[in-house]
Amino acid sequence: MKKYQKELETYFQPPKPKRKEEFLGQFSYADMGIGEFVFTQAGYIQKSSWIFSLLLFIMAAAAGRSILPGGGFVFLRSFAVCMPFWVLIIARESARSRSFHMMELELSTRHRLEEIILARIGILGSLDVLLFIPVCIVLAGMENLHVLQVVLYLMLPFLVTTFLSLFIARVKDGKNTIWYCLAVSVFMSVGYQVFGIVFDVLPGIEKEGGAFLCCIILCVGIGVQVKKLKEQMGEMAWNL
Amino acid sequence: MAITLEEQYDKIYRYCYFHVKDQYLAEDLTQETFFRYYRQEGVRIRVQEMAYLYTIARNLCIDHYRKTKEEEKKEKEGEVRPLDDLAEYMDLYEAVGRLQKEQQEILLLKYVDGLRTGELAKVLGISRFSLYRKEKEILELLKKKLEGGV
Repeated sequence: MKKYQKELETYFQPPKPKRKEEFLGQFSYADMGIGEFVFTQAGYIQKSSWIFSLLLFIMAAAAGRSILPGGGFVFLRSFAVCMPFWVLIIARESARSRSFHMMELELSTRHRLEEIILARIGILGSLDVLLFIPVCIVLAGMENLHVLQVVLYLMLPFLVTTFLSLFIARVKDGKNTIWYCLAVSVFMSVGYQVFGIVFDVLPGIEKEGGAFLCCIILCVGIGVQVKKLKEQMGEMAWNL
Repeated sequence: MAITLEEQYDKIYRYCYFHVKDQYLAEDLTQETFFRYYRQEGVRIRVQEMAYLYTIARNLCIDHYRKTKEEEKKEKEGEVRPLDDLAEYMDLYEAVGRLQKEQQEILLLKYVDGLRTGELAKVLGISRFSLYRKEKEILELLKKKLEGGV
């Protein structure tokens, strides 16, 4: 059928519109740029989310410092323990609509709910990245490691928790979603360290190739979950 | 790839004209489609934007039909003839012209405007499976006629 596309275009060709230029010239709609939109959404993120993110960072640094004889690896471990809880803070922010039964109302407002949630996830995630870039550089320096090794070690629990939380958010639609995400965060926080102790390995620090591959697969998995979640929210908008 | 407002206008206008066959009315419906869409939307970052626009346009055309009751008349004009009659028509234009309106709509949205299957199913309010089945019927109908004419 594609080879007949030109003929079909000719067949369905309407007469030239007479008022198109006039309409497009006068048509003004409130268009918010992406920068302005992101900045606006940052203002709507709860203060507690910002505070908890910073507190978690301070706790991780304090925990590492208090066990200083362990050196840089203790810092690494203390940050890795806290990584899943940053995902929880982001998940909590994203689940506000469900928690306060506001989803239907927010679906009918000026901006699409999925845009708002993605913007807030992006903003909080960017804060985490900004906090952790210097952490990774400092920790790598402390133990003569490559920055990539530190990044891989910290990103693995973060990505696994993100993937599982997104999956839960998609399949377990309800106000208890955040509790399931909390369970996942606790499990990952503890489980990652237990895994390292039982198998005597620091994923990312050792076996970098395998850790890198896992991160890639998790990123793809997260992308798929985000796409499905967006489609699910789109379905809600269609069905209203 | 994002399309411009002008390209969106052209597609929606073509779609409205396909339904109402009246230039002035098609332009009115096109403008109304955009007014209704942008009244709600602020940030233009969205998937399936065209599908939303087509759905609004379709609903406006259907509302217009209900008011004027022209649809019944146009449906009769577009009634599909039995295959024996179709065999006489080798020309694609004539063959398409003899399809039912819904079949023509699918050809327009899928092969001219390039809507994806998921979006098209949403616009028409049918399942993907139904859409695949209808598409297959249309293509078999056209293929039989075109090959028969060689």
